[in-house]
Amino acid sequence: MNSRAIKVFIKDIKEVFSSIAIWLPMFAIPLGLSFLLPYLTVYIAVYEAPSIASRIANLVSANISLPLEVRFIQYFSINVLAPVFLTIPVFTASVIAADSFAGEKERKTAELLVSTPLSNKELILGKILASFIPSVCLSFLVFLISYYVLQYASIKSFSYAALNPFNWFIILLAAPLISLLTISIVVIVSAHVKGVKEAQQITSLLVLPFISLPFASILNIISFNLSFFIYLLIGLAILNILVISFGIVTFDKEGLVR
Amino acid sequence: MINLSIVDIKELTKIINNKIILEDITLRIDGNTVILGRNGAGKSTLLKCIAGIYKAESGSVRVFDKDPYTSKEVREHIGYMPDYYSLYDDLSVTDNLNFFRSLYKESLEDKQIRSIIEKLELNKYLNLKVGQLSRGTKQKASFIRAIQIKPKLMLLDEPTAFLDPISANTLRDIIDSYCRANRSTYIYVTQRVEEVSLMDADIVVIENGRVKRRVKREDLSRSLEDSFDIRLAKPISDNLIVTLKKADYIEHIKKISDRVIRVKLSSYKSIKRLIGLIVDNNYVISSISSIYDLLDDSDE
Repeated sequence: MNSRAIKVFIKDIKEVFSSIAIWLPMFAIPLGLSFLLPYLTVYIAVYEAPSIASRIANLVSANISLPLEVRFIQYFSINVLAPVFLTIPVFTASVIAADSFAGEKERKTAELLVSTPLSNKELILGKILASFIPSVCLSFLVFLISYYVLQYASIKSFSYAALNPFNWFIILLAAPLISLLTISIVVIVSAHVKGVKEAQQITSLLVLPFISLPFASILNIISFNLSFFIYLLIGLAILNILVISFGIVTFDKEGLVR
Repeated sequence: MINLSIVDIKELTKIINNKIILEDITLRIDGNTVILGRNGAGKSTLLKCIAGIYKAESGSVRVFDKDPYTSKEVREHIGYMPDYYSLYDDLSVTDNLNFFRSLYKESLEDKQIRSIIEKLELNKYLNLKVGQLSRGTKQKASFIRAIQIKPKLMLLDEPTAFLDPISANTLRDIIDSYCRANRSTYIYVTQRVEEVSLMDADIVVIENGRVKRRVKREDLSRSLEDSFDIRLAKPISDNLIVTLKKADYIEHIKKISDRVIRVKLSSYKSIKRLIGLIVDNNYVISSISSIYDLLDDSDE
């Protein structure tokens, strides 16, 4: 990895962590949800599972040797919680990504940055890293916490650890690629708009498709199984390469200053 | 043998938001240069083209025979100080300096940077966030950011705009001694005509996006050898006249009016000392007659 890109990344991270008002909500909300949502899932399983389960076709065909509540937890965790936990860190990191170049423009620091020996590639990679690393770290934390919370609540309620760790953590493989794709797009948008507000507005439109993931899963449009994930990972990897290359080729450093 | 210029600009035209900012500029810069012009003349845009921030719409800009917009090797040797301080408000002065220093291959030694920091009395602000500093202190930090990378070419856009006269003098002295010691060159943009006399540099006057005139330092110096008038911002006291008469480099001094004195120096090189002496006595110089002629309406 290019050392100058890492210098930009470290600088941006220092800026983010210089203000508690920026980083606290960014981390607190996903981490809070990683405690809350697993508990809610088990709560629903205990009190609502029979009525909900009868309406979800997948549940009926699931492993019938397990109690209905446990089968519900397995289904709901993989198909709803996991996609939600994949998208939340992306949302929060998009705040940094939207600010990446647009913030430099607004604060009039872009001028100095583009006068340095940084190449377009180093500058873009540095900016992407500054959002990508926190996003991925947050994803890992959120998945880890929610896994243990879910297992703990499940054992306490049903004396059975509902989640298969392989099924849960394999979904996490998609997190870096989803984060990278979203963040790269937002960083590129940020370089081409006038200010942070404009970048954030466009960003909120760009991340909309990711919100649809849990719904698509519930409606059986997509199914979070192994083959789906392999295709997803390959598709995301190709898209990432295309988007980042496009960003570097079309980067107009003069546009940041003008 | 081809004699390469430090900066070689040919037929440069720069259009921003459909407005011509620079038009057909052809300019070779081989030594220290002051770019002088009024607000909106195009000085800062020209400097940004030389810094590799703006690209030329037509014509060319070469610095050390390379295009600074595309060549990061050239930008390694350019220390650019914009008119706005452009540092990160949420980071400390030290973090700002370290970040920018880390992007360049070369830099001054730590003790040299510390010495400049001490001369500009920035020590006590190093651990404060830039956002907490006054405009003048930010400008000093911005200057250190530019000089610390040991540039072969310094591009300074109104570097003393927010400084008190004493700090401004110190900063100009640092520029001068740095360039002499490191065989570096500076291009100094200003709209304050009196600064011209303080810099040992050629002068390029820009007006409406064009080069209006070029004056070699020697030619300016010759004009300064004759008597010239200095207008001060407040009434001149007898004490100031007595103080100035004691200076051995002043051949003759006469009070022309309440705020104007006519001075003849033994050598034009003493102009810097004279201005320093006036400023040290808490006077602000409004104008120096023969230098102000640079911005008059007549073309060369």
